[in-house]
Amino acid sequence: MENDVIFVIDMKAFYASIECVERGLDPLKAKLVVTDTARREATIVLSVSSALKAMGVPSRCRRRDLPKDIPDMIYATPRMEMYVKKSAEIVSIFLDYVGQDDIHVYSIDESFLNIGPYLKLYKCTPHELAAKILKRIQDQTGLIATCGIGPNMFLAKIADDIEAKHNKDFIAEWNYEDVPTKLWPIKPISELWGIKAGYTAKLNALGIYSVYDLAHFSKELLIDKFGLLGEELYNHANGLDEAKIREKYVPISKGLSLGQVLMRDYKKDEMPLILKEMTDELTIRLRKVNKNCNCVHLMIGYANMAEGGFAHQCELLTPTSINSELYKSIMYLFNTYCENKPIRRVGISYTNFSEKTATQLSLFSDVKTQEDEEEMFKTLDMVMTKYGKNSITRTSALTKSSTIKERHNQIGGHRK
Amino acid sequence: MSDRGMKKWLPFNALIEQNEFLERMIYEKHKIKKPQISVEQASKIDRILKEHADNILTFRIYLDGYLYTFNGKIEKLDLPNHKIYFKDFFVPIKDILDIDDPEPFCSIS
Repeated sequence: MENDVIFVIDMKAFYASIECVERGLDPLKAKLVVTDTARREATIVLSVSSALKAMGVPSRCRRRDLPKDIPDMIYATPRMEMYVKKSAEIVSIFLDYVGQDDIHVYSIDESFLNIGPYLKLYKCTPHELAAKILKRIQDQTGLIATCGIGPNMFLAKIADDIEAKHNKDFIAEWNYEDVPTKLWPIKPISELWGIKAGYTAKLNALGIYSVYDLAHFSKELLIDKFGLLGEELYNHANGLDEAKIREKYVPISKGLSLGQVLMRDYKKDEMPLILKEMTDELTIRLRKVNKNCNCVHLMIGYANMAEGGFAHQCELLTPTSINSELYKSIMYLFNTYCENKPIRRVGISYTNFSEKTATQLSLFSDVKTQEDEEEMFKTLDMVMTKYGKNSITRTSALTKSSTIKERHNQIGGHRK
Repeated sequence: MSDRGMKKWLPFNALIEQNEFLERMIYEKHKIKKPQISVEQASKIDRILKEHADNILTFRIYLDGYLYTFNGKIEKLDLPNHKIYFKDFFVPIKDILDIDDPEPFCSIS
């Protein structure tokens, strides 16, 4: 459609701003970082407030990299559940303005909205509507957002990334006419959305150093070099993007995975417990998507990075979604490949899904026990969904090396 | 198509929990208030329950913010507790909004 008008609405220093508002501080002035002080120095800093960013604190860093000479810096412990709830509250505000089909939630603090079809209804310019939405967000939640406006998703995103935060009202509107004056001068080329270090090197090798160079390069040669991505890069450099918010792309789930970095070095004989707990957790998700798994994969990283680790996978004899069967395969991998070294990182994943329709009976397993076990785990799943994940655990959760209770109090690996 | 379309805007799904919260928020947001039923409507429900309790009836009910329609045969009328029992669930009588009249032509009185 020609009359698309896309908004990208992005929350400024989302987690840090929420923590400021919770403390009654001005999110633009307070010097606050969100990081878990109970963890090691190498732990990640989840968010840095705008005032600190202006003082030169990098927005993505580790706690040891924070400057030590800022006396009134506030350390906030992450509260992931609150952030995710706030994020949903903000999407709920968008839903008051546009329909669900015209929203694309891009990340926890960033959404795309197509307001083209609604302009007649609201009888205002895109800029006015953006200001209205940003004001509503600020009034309701106290948080500051920025908005990029463009005729397609790409230009809106770039307008937001490059210009919106510098404007007084935090709104930047770009059109096709602005491409030569605003898009082409962007330097270096890696500033452009979608161009990472790897591509920068490849483009530099072709003599492309700026967005202008890319926009004036031979399209055919780019397609020849990079395939479909080459054409996409060329289009982006010319401010074109064919993506439509309504044409939602839902990836086919090819696998499930779970990983964790352990809080201390674990000995080899402590690992079976960790693996059992991780198997339990991932299998709940497997049963939720109602699939059987044919292949399990195990990754172990030793405490000493230089010693590396290993990653191996194995096929199962029969597809299954029963904890004990999957655990057996993972333990087989573990016992075959793991050396006796301290361990710090673990990851397991299930792939090669099949539908839970007919099952091939095996000579080596008892159907009745399998059915009983599956029934039992289904019941356990129901208990956990209703009363919370910590309502029922293995007794081993009480042992020293268990991490499961701790992990149940986390979202995305950070404190709930 | 000359580019990847929406595929390139695929969210970086670091938080599985985000979708759960979004779904819950949308479910809550689309809830409606329980519709008021008129006196006539109430007497119609009353009459059908009295006369046609043995038939398979079509019920329109309100449950947790949403409207549902289902067909069912009443197993038991629990009048003291204001509940209607079906084979494996029950519905409070106050949540019934309408019952389709099994004999619509006879009902003109």
